[in-house]
Formats: sequence, C-alpha cells, structure tokens
Amino acid sequence: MRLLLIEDNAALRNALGNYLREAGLIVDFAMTGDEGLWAATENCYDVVILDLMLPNIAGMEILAKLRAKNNPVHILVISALDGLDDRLKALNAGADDYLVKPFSLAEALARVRALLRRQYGSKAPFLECADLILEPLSRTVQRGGRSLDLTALEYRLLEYLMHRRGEVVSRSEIWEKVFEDGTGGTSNVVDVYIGYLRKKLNVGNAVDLIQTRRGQGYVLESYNS
Amino acid sequence: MKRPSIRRWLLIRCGVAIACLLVIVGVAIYFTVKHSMLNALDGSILETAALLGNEVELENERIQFEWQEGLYTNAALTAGGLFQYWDEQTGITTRSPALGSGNLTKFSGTDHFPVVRDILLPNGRRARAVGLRIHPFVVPEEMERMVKVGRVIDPTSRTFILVVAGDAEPINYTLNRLRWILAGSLFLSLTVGFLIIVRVVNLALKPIAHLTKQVKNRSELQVDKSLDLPPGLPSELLGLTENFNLLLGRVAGIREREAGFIRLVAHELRTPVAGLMATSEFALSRKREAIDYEKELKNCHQSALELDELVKRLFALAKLGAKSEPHSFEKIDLIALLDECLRPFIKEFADRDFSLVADLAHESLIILADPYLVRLIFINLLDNALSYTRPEGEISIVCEKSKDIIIVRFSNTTVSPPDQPERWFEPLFRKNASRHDAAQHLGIGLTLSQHAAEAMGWTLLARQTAEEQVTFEIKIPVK
Repeated sequence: MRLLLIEDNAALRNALGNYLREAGLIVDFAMTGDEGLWAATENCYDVVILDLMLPNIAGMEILAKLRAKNNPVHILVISALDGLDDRLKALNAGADDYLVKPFSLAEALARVRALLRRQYGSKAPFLECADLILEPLSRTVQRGGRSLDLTALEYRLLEYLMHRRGEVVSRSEIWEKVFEDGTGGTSNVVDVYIGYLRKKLNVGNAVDLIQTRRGQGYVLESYNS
Repeated sequence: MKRPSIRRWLLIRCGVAIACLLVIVGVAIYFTVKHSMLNALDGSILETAALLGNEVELENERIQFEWQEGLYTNAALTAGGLFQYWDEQTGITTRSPALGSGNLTKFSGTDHFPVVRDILLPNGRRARAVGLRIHPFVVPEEMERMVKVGRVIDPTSRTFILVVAGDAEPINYTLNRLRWILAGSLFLSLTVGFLIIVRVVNLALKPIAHLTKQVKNRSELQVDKSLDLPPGLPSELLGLTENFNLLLGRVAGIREREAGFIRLVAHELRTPVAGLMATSEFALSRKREAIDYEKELKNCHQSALELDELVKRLFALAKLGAKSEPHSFEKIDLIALLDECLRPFIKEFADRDFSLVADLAHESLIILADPYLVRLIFINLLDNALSYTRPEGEISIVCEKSKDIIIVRFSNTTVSPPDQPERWFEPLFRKNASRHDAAQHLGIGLTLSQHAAEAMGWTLLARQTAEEQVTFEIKIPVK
C-alpha cells in the first residue's frame, strides 16, 4: 500500500511517515504544495494524506485539482483548522476524511486503514482468502491456523494481493504499490518475492493460492473459486 | 454627586416657563382691565368736569352757578355728583350736595388743562378726581349791558378751581376680585400644566427607557448585537441609536478580530504541538534502541524550541499592542545602528548572490529613539528582504534626511509582483499559508515592526515601487 504524505512541518511529517512505515505501509513524502500535487498527479497512490496550509500551493487547491482531474485517490486531510466550516469545505471539495491537528498517530493509522478498506471494497478489519487470514492491526498472517513469519516486504506483498484477491495484478502494479522505490517499471524482483511468498504460504500439501497468469501477472484466489 | 437628569431638567424648566408665562399673562390681564376701568371712570369725570366748567356765569356783575339754578331740573347732572368750586379771588367755595360739608382735595392744572389723580373723599373712600382752572362765561346781552353802564368786567380776571371726583371703590373691589381669580387660575393652570408636562416628559422619555431596557437585559453573548430600532423611535434618538449601533458594530468587529486572532494563534500553536505529540508518540510506540530515542528526543527539542520562539513572538506582539510598558528613549546614531544590524546579513546576502546597495548618505544621524525597537525594525526588514528577494536579486537601503524628516527605505526585488502589500502588517499574515517555517516567519515580524515604529511616533509603510520590487519606508520625524 503506497501513501503520499504532503506535510510541511518536518517533525510531524517524519513522525507520522515513520509511524505509517512501521505499520507496513510505503510512504512517500512531499514538503510543499507543488511537490505534493506533482507526486499525486504522476503516481498512483492508495491514500494521500494532505495538510491544508502548505507553501506554494495550498492543500485545498491540490484537493480541487485532483478531483477536477477525476483522480480517485482517497484523501485524508490533516489540518490545524478545526472549525466546522473548514471541515465541511474540505469534505465537500472531495476529501474522504478530515483529521484535526494535533492527533494521535494511532488514530491517523486507523483512518488510513479505513480508507484502504474502502479503496479495495472491504469492510472487515481482517483479510481472508480460503484458509489464509491476514490481520493488518497485529500484522499477523495465519494459514490453516498456523502463524507464518513474513518479512516486511513479503507482508506488504501479501496484503496487497489479498486486498485485490480474485483480480489479476500486474507486476508493475505490484512494483509500484509494494516496493519502496516504486518507479522504474517491471523487475524480476517481483517474481523473486512472489516465489519467496509461495514457499512460506505453501507449506506441506497446502494449495498454492497465488496463480501466475502468463503475460498478465498474478492473482490470489481461493481454490474453490 | 447627583447626576443631571433630563426628566428633572424638563420638568423644572417647563414648569418655570409655564409659570412665568401664566404670571405675565395674568399681570397683563389685570393691568389691562384696571387701565380700562380707570379710563372709563376718568372719561366719565372729565365729561362731568367739562359740563360743570360751563356752569359758571358772570351775570349782573355777580357769579351765578347755573347748575344751582336748575338743581331740581338738572338732577341727573348733580345727583350723586362729587365736585367743588373754589373762587380764587374771594376764596369762597361751592360744593355739590353729595359732598355735604366735606371738602375735596384742591388741585388743578393750568388754565383749562385738566389734571387727573387719585384722592381720598371726605368719607375716606378712594376716588379718582380731575382738577382744572376755569373762567366764568358772559352771554352777549350781559356784555352789551356792561358796556352801556360803563363797567365792563373781564371774565378772565375771575378764576375758579373746579375739582370733580368719581368714587373708585367699586373699581378697586372689582380689581381685587380679579386678582384672586387670576391667582386661582394661575395656580390651577400651573398644576394642570405640570401634570401634563410630567405625562408628556414620561412619554417622550419612554423610548430611552425602552432602549435602556434593551441594553440592560442583553446577555453577555449579545453584548455587541445591534439595538432594535422600533418604527416609532423618535428622530432625536434615531441618530444616537444608529451611532450606538455603529459603535456596537465596531465592538463586534474588534471582538471578531480578537476571536480570529486567538483562533489563528491557536492554529499557529497546533502545528508544532502536533509535531511534538507525533514525535513523542512515534518514539513511544515501540521499544527502540537508545540512538533512536536520542534522535526522536532531538526532534522533540527542536519542536519545543520552535514553540518557544512562537510564544515569545506572540507575547512580544501582545506587549506592543497593549502599549503597557513605556519605551526608553535615548540618543542613538541611526546610521551606526543600521550598520550594526546590517553586518550579519551581508554574508547571507552574498551567499544567495543578492547585490546590496546601501546609500546611507550621512556618516551619522543622531536621533532620540528606543534602540531595542529600532533594532527590532531593522532586523525584521532585513530578514524579510533575505527571505523574499528573488534569486540574484537586488536589495537597496537608502537613508535621506530633510529639514523635518528622515526617511529610510528598504527595497528588494521579488519573485513575482508584490501581492496585497496593505495586508502585510496584519498579524500572522504570510505570503503563503504554510507554517513550515514558523520559527523564522511566523507572520508577525512586520506587525511587530509597525507597532514598534508607531510606539516611537514613526510610520512604517510598504508599497510596490516597480513591477517586481517592494519598498518598506520608515518615516522618522525630526524632533
């Protein structure tokens, strides 16, 4: 899951960004409004965390420009402006959520997760595919009641595939959404990590849930479907 | 001290005015009636005197009073008549029957010109009387006879004084009654008038009481709400109420600005507080290595320093705005102080490839000022130039002195045309809304500078002097 954090206050930006990273999300930073608008326009993010009072281009303007281009990215506004008018203005301009500064990082993470669930049409706080269960809150994965030990990158890869279960996901999409350096297009690294993940998931006689679609990518799906 | 009262003022003055008016009218009526009655009496006695003056005849070398000849036939003339003749040659006096043996006061005018005056009758009653000198008349037959006998008597050589009186007691009685009637009417009119005035004043002051009630009954939340203007509000109060509402409007504006300022201050404080909270929460969210804690603590410290700077500047702004502390004026060399403030910036200007032109024109300029405030102004303007001059731009500082004024100008070229220079001195106003550099550019530096300038009687203004150039001008009156 790749997020864009547009915030000009260094302390808040670093703390929030690192906190989200430690929660298994990939976070890109932008310090000014123009940088943020460029990043949000040129890349495909799952969620944009947007401050309103930014240098060069204000957050409201970024919001308006993204929505004017029908950019469907989920936007969480963070602002020191706590008035009802300010909140209504942002939400009516296309923000998906509004968080008033100062806020708890845990709350910010919970809201980001809620937006991610909305992004992939899920309501449940955990992800499930056949006997595979992933709990984002505890960052744990179980298959057939047995806990799996995944690296951070493997976890992110599995979480992304589970969010998009039943859909064919291209290598470039995986590269963009799961790997820290999401630019540069396809790479065999994706295949390598899919291989690592398969090994950890398919212990014993377990059915391989990750199917390869030649020339298209991968799909995670239940063996019943 | 007893406060002046409009009600009391109106009651006393209207009461006194009405009383004076009634007294004047009463006195005028009394004297008009008196004058009229006395005139009628005087006319009557003058008519009688005119008739009686022709009743003295020289006949057969003797004086004959003709009214005595017809005493019974001329009863109308003599009945009740009060008159008396005095023969000035013989001293013999002749009275009307009504006088009996009593004498009237003897007086007269010259010859036939009558004199009228007040006298007392022999019975003690007050009367009006006319006195005049008269001569007997001679019929032509008597004159022919005197000529025939050769003993002509000149009638003008015989002089009589005639005094005719008229009883004035009925008039005095009538006037006395009139006085009482007028006094009673005056008292009654005054009482009724006073009651009417009280009622009218109360009605007139009712809108004031209504407005007072409106002001008194409003809650703290409605303190600056405009007063209602009822349709029947008198025009005299309309202006006052409208001006009061304007004042309330200004109070509401000030309150709104204060609320806005407090909101902005709260907002300014929120971002560094959010940074502080987020950093500490991130540090405590899991067990970390000591070096990681150290890093986060340093971040917290940096945020705390920013917060401290913010609070200091806000406090300085509040202190300058309140003007609570007197400023200490002393003799300073403006040029030396400007040079001292400029020195630390020269390297920074050079690092950014800014060209600096300083035309200070004088070696020294001694003025009376607060050096702390002057430094604050210069450093803020130089810092502003450092932050907002376009890359490879130009900064110029010019100092001019004329007879009455010293002008110091700080100009710098800008990235884009200066926008809204009239708002640059508003508290917390910044070129953009970002708070990323709150420690350096809180948006109160120019506000502080303007307050500092005003505190010393100076003026500080900003204006666009070229397409992409802004100039800050300080005007210092020469005292």
